[in-house]
Amino acid sequence: MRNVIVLPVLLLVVALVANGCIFEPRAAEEPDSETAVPYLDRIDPKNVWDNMQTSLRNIHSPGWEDAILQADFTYIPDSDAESQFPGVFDGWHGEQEVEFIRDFYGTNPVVDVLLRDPEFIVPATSGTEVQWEGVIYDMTVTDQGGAVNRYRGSADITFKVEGNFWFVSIWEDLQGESDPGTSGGVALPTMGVLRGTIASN
Amino acid sequence: MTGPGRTRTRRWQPALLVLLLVPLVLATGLAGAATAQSAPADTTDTAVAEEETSRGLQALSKGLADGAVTQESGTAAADTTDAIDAGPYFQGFDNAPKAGVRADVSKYEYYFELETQLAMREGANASNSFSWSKQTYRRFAKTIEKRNDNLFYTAGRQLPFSLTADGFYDWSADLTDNNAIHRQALSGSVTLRKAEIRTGAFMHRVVATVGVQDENSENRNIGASINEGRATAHLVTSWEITDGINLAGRLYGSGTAGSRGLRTEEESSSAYGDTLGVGAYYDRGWLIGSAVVTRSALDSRYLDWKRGQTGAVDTVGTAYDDQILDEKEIREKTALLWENELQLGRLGLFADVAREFDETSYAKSAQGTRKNHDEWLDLQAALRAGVRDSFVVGYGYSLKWDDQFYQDGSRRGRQNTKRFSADFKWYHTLFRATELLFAMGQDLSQQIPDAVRTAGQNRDQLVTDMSLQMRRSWPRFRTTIIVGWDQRQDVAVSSNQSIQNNVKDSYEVAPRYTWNLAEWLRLSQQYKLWIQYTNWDHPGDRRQDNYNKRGNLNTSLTIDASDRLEVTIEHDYNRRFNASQSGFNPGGGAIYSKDQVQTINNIDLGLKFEAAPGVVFEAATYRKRDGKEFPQSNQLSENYSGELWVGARVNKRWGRTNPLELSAMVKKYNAFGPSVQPTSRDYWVADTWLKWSF
Repeated sequence: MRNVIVLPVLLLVVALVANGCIFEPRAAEEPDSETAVPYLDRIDPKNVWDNMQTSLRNIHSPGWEDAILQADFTYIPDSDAESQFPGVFDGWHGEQEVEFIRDFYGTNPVVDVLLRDPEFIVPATSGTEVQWEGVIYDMTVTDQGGAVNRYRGSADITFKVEGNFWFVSIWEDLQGESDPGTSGGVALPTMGVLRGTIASN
Repeated sequence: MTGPGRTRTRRWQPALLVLLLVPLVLATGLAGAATAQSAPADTTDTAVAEEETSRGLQALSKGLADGAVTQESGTAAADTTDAIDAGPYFQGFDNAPKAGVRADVSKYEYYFELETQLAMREGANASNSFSWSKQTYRRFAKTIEKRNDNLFYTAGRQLPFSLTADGFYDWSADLTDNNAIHRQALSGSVTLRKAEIRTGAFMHRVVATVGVQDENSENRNIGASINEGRATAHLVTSWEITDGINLAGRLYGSGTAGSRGLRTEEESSSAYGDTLGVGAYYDRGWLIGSAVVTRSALDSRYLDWKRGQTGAVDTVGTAYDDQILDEKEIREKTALLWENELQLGRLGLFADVAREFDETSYAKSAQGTRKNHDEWLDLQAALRAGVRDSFVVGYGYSLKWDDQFYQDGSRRGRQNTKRFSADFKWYHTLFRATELLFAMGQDLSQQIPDAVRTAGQNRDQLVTDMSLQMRRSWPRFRTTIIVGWDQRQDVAVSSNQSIQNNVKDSYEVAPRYTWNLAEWLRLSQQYKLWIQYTNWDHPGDRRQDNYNKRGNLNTSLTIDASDRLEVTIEHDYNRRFNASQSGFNPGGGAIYSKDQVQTINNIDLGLKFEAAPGVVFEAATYRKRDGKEFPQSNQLSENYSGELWVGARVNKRWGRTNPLELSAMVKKYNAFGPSVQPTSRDYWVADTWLKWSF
């Protein structure tokens, strides 16, 4: 009796496997140029962070999605962003981060970004987990309607090796940073405010 | 409407609203009291979900079905509560002050908490929870002070209906120079609930709430305030058509009025919302499910910043008087849900189908009108084929889209996200204590913009995976082996991005065992091997086909040397290399050259010693060697790192009736290595508190 059920089910599965797949992606158009978004191999944390900057500059979400450890990613906002968007950051993990970056890029923004302050000394990579403490990023976003917003903050970034590559595992915004040159000593908002704005809409 | 001239104080509005609504709430309570003459005592204090979902309907329907049980349990509960229903009105007054300090690598914190509880006859209770803390960050100038107080009162069974009241006070300030951020919020509400009001064949549940909110904040020298009163009323009615089939309807209304301030301006604010929901619930044993339709709307007016198309504040280049405006927001949402569970002998069929649509429009904001649509279908079949085999087959489909009509009349265009998934699982018992799990699945996600949304994402991702897992559990030996493969195809459809397209194949082999060699000795070993190949559709500079391999062997030995001493020794060996395709051999096979070979050796030692009851000393250390070879340039790098921490835990309790408790954990960390930051080289971690209950 058992074999009467088990065998047909397994045969059906084998047939599906032999067929290759159930779903098919759409056919891609032939590339119209040789210029690709220049991502680096994720063999150390610096490359991963630079890839995120490249993703922002090119409004190309796959770069961001590949850089974060989607199965074990956590975003922790700074206290200012948290108080502006209460509840929005509860349980902000890989799925929320992917949704955020897709929604953000979907607004068709123009992004001018330096994700790592030139004075930041990149720690040497060692082992399978590394934390960058107090990395300062600076980003200016211009939306389709011409509105300009600037985000500048310091963050602790934890990178982890998963499988074969490095990923960002924890992004903890510490506080907004002032830019002595332009903001008159007043701290600018962190990317937590951008995340909160996009997610709350 | 702009400029200092329009500043008006309307702080009396919330109070007026509350005064108008209190009689309504009391009337609800009195109606409940009148009905209570014939209805059973309100033994349940289950809060009716006030969020605008359909779950309230389900809860009531279930409550109706469980009505008899509830009454019975109420009677039983009454017996057990006789003791506290008699005696003096005030039955207990408990206090528990607690003070402590916490420290870690990033900050240290002092805190004080005070829990107070006043117990009264018939389950009435008043409790207050106060907390204060001050956090100072170690690595940069930032100090945050917080004060919080929560007050809660419940009348228990003193009234024929449920009466609760709560109050919140929340204050926080960033005391850092040049970064003035502070917030103070006060709120309070009174809620009346009456469940199981029966009129003929209908069962009702009523919830009414009035509350006030007073909030003031300052962020970077810009002030904001909210001073509002709020009232809500919630009615759920259920009708048991026949045994196991219920029909339920829900009506929810809310009103908010008061004022909001931004910078130096203040203006009246309001929000009115309603929800109407209807649902059918059935439970015939072999067939369980529900179908629910909910429609809700919210119309609100408030003072807000001028905002751009994404919703971000947009005041750059805007005249001072035009930076703040009176906003009007209208939000509507419709949701349809159907859940079904059918059990036919050994076959179980499950279905979950839903569609949600919402639209939000702004009168002034450049966002204009946003539309969101979400629909999904999940089907699953589970079959038990004999004692040893079970199968689960699932299929999922979802479609999401969003669109936006900007205030200037232009349209952003629709971005569609489609997802299809199918999976299969086979659970098989090979023989005693040995199980096999085979799983395979495929997941296709598609991002498709419409013709208007030229800048949208246009790409597909297909993930196919297959894995085999075997578990064996002997009394002293447990082992697991996992063999897995997955393939990810990234396909950018548009010609301007399709050069990035690639296929990644990943393989994983992970055997593991844990062997209890003796009562006091446990050995555990795990080996993991990952390999990932990347094949580019259009290879070129920086897009050479490549592979990455990583092997990891972890060995752990736990020794319970005595009842008081535990020792753990762990070794981790990690070898990883990356290679890129550099050519082809005469047979046409690809030749790969190694770019980098990394070898990490790590040894950990941990000790735990219980010096006396409640007093434990702990220590741990590790030392790591990280070597990297670059074969193509013949370079070699070596890094050494390590850490040592020692600490102690103390958990002591003195006295039984009014106990004094001490909990202390202190650890001292010292670390070295290339990735260790200055603040992480030498620091303390502590969590110590003292609590007295009386």
